[in-house]
Amino acid sequence: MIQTIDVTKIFNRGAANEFASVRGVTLGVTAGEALIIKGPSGSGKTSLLSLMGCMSRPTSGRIRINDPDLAVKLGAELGASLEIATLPERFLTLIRRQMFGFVFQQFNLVRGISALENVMLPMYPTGEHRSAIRKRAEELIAEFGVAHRATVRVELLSGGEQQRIAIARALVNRPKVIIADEPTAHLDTGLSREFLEIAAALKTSGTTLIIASHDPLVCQAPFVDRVEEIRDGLLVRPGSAG
Amino acid sequence: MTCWLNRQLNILDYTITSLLRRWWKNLSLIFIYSVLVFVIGSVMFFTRAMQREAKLILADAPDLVIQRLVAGRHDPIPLARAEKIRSIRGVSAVSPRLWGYYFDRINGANYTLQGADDRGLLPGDIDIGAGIARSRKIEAGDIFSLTDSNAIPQVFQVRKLFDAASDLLTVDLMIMPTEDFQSFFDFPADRATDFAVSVRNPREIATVAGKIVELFPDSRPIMKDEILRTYASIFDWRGGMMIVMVAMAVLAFVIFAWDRASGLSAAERHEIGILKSIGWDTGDVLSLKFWEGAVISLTAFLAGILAAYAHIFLMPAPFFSHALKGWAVLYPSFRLTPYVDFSQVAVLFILTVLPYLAATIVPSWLAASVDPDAAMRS
Repeated sequence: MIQTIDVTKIFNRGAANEFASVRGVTLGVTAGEALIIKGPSGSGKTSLLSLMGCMSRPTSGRIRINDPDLAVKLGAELGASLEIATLPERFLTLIRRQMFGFVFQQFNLVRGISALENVMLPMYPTGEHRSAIRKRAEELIAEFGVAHRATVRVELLSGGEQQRIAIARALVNRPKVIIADEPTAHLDTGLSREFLEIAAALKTSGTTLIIASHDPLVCQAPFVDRVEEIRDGLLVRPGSAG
Repeated sequence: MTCWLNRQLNILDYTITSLLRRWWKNLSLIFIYSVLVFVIGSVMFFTRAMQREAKLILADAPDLVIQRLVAGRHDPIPLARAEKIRSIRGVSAVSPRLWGYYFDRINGANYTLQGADDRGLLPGDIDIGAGIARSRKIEAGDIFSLTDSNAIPQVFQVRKLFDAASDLLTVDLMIMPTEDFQSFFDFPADRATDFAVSVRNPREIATVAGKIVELFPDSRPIMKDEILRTYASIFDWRGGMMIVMVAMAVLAFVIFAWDRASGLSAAERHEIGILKSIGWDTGDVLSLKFWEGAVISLTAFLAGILAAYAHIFLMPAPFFSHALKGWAVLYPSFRLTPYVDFSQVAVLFILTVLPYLAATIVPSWLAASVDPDAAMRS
């Protein structure tokens, strides 16, 4: 479904502080799979997730997304297998919106607005009517048991509530892939288990999961299909491309 | 089309929410912005309205005014000269005028008093300007007292108040019958204050003026062009002050816009990164920033321009009058006739709203055109 081929990401290229966060990584994930990318802080996990989620472009190498539905939406001329490194920004945005839901380490909710509005945000540019967007967001918030906190500003929510709102926001556009960056890093064991239950349910419903984490609780979760390790930007066990 | 409209409405909806969460900051922004528009708008309305008043005055100005000088000072001119001037080739009419100034001790204001027989005024009748009526709190039909040149109070009945297009033209004016004027000022019956002379061909005004001086060497002809030049110089001088004020206001606006342009905070950049990562494209972010700028700038523009209108036309321009009207110390206070030059309003709109929109959008565009990953990390 998503395949990185010899992908390298270099920041501050040509400057004194140039560094390569990802170096020649070849990795694949198939539809419906739950992949964990583990590694210590600064190993390049977040950069790799950004590349796989079309949030940034590789300095070199190729990233392919194979999804017939997406190809139809973007236009037949692009073919079923999309080479995203060379796509214009508007296509990348469309892919992010249609294909991925992101759960960030710090949740990255927009402060100052309500939980409900945070969940509605990804759907605003879709052009759907506001009432339909609101209905969808309310359904998700109810599903995650935080309906009674819908109108509360996000900064006033507890860590667990913020996490559920962040997951609801990631799911609002019905993505095929959920990308989560250190989702349990700031959670206690109880909340971490709650997240894993939600992740397992998503996996059961056919959603592909790509999770960056060095939390053993996540790496050893029963729903996980595969664990890849990254260190200093390099895959520790190379040759596992799907 | 529906999809595009929904998208814009959704983004506008979020814009309002977004602005409300920083309501104190945005309200102070609107306030400062409105004050700048108010200053520029007030200067603009004031200048245009004053120019229009002057134009109205000059529209009725005679081609030539003939005065008599004695020892270099203005002195009443003998009426007998009117006939001789009328006989000069090219002169179509000569009208003797009776006018003078009257200082009203009660209000500390200077009025212009005129004698005329062509208005159907009966002895004891007087027509007065709206400014005098306001300051003396009188209406048509009321009795009105003035102290004559022998310090004897004279009583007049107000026949009507002037209803002119220009308040400036008539605000301090009083007209009474010629005989009343002459007895009030003890003015000789065979004299006039000056002559208003009409000339058939405007190109011959200078020639006619030369002939009059030849005929009466103690006369001083004042040509319409000279009056125009005097008014122009007065307005140019005041216009210069206006330019200084506008320049200062525009400079303040530029600093203000620059501060906005360079002031995209880390939180704002981070939020742009979040929006991009959850599926907003650069165009959506720019729409958001456009609507943000539009809501603030249009609100401020409307508030500023309406306040400027009220300041200039509904109040007697309290912030400007003493500096710009010049003669306000003695002149009874007058209100400028409302006059809005929409092309100038459009220019003001372009000079204030568009730079602000650009100052809002450009830094956001720079922040939004990088990868969301980079925007999130910044």
